[in-house]
Amino acid sequence: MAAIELDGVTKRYGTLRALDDLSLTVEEGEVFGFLGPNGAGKSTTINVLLDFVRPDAGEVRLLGEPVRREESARVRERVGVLPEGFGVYDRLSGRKHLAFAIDSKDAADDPDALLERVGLAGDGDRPAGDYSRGMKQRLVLAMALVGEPDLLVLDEPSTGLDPNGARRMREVVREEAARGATVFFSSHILGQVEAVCDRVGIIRDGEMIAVDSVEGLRAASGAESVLEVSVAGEAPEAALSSVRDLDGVSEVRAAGGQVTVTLGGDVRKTDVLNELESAGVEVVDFETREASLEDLFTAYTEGDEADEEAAGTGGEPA
Amino acid sequence: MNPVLAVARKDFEDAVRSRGVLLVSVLFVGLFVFGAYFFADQVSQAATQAGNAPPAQGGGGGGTPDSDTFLRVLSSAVTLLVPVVALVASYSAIVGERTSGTLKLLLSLPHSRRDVVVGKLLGRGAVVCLPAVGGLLLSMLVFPLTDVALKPVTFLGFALLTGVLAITFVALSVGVSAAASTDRRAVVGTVGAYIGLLVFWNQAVDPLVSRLAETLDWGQATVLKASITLKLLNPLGAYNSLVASLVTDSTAAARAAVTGGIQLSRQSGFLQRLYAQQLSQEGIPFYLTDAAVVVYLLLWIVVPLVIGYGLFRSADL
Repeated sequence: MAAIELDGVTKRYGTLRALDDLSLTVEEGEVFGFLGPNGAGKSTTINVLLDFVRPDAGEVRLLGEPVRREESARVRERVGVLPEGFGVYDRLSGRKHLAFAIDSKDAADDPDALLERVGLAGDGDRPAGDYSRGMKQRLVLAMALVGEPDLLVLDEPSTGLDPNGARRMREVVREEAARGATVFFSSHILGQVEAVCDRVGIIRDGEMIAVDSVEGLRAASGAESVLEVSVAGEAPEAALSSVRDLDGVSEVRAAGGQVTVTLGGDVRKTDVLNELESAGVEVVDFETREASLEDLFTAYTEGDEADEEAAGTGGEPA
Repeated sequence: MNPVLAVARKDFEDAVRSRGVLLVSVLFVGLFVFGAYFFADQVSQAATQAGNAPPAQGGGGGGTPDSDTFLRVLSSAVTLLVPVVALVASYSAIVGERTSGTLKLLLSLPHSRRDVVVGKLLGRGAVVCLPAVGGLLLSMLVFPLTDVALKPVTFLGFALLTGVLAITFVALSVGVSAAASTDRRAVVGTVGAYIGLLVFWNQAVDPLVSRLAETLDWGQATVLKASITLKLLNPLGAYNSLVASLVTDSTAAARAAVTGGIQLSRQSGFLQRLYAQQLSQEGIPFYLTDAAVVVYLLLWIVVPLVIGYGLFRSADL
């Protein structure tokens, strides 16, 4: 049985097609990273999963049960959710929040153990309105963990977290996966995904454009490595396009004195350097590295300049 | 825990931590308890004066003032105050959570939108009913300390009806709050509904009935019954007429009480007595019995909630 199944899901907002015939299956027990630039349809997908938004067409199943308006409350007893753009009850303490989640799920968790687990030990009696953004994020993660859910849906879980908090978040994801839970989380911070995911899905313009393991994506995109070349002055467009024409070069980008070339499996970097020099570009220095997921991500979503964002800065709540 | 109760409990715990609720509780308890005290004080002063000049009493009044007299006086204040408090306490019940994002927490837990609507009705209902009904019950304790006789059964009945009135306006407000997509719409909706019921409803009834009477060639008795029924369909009218039922012996007089406008249940004027007489000669039809009026009041709990829930159910958040 799949933990999450989206089958041909379409959602329109007016004339905007937020999701276009989107299909996706997340198997039980896997950690699935859901990637995409802002505006690509990540939040809409999760809103459809959680029944916040009703799709215009398509089928959605959580843990084998179809998600239908007002009928999915029961299956959600087995799902823990960290939604995006949530608010907390300012007047209620962190502990009261957890007590509410425990009551709601008929669970028997110990609020203190949960607070400890997300790094809020000692803050449980303060009103949640006094919490920082990161502490609120931790609190709602703790609420999501109540009742040992079979499926965790985490929407942009690293929002507002400091590096310490982000590391703890990754630990929690690993622990939950080790317990046997399925974890589905969205992010635009690629490092998070790469570090913990079994599989990654990339969404662009409301469509899944790639779903695979990180290694599989690497192989499929042919982006085995990246060559960073420092050049004197600025490389002319003619030089770039002759590099681009080389067999096995999948992408060439230039910014100031830096040329970034994404290489497929069988092209030699000396060919690239020769090509640049024969086009009259003076190569000052170069460096190769294995393609990170971020390069892959850029390769897959290339052309969406408007969506480029500074990775690493926490996104603002929607 | 039952999801509705979990939502209601959370909502109650959240609301009682707000300063506004504390203020309202003090207001209700103060108004009812001190109201009872001042009333008793006035009565005993009047009695002392009457003792000095016995012939002035004559036979005109309705006998010695007792706690029922207090309730007649109090009911007009309650009619104005309790609905306002209920509306203020509940207009943002759902839309407030929608705009602040806490609704996402609520619906991420295993709660349906129906659980949220019903839970909010119970939570906010408790927040408004506890001080209102509690204040009334406390004010009962004043009477044994004074010369004024306490009629416990009518007093408890009044407290119960006041609780139902509070729930009615909480339900109206929660219904609007569920349907609204912004706080401003919820404010406009609830304030508009209250002013409409308080001011415009009864004003609209009489022209409407006379128009109908002309076209349908109604007799005077039909006109009277139609007018009274329409005014009883207003929850404020239903409440007033039921309170009048408690403190008078005549159902006809209690029904005729709505003809004088919403707030006038303390003294029946000449016209009201005339209408009451007419009504008792005609006989009380089933749709003007106490039970029917209770149903009208309860409809105001159900209908706004059902409509509000229907719109909330289909909304994309």
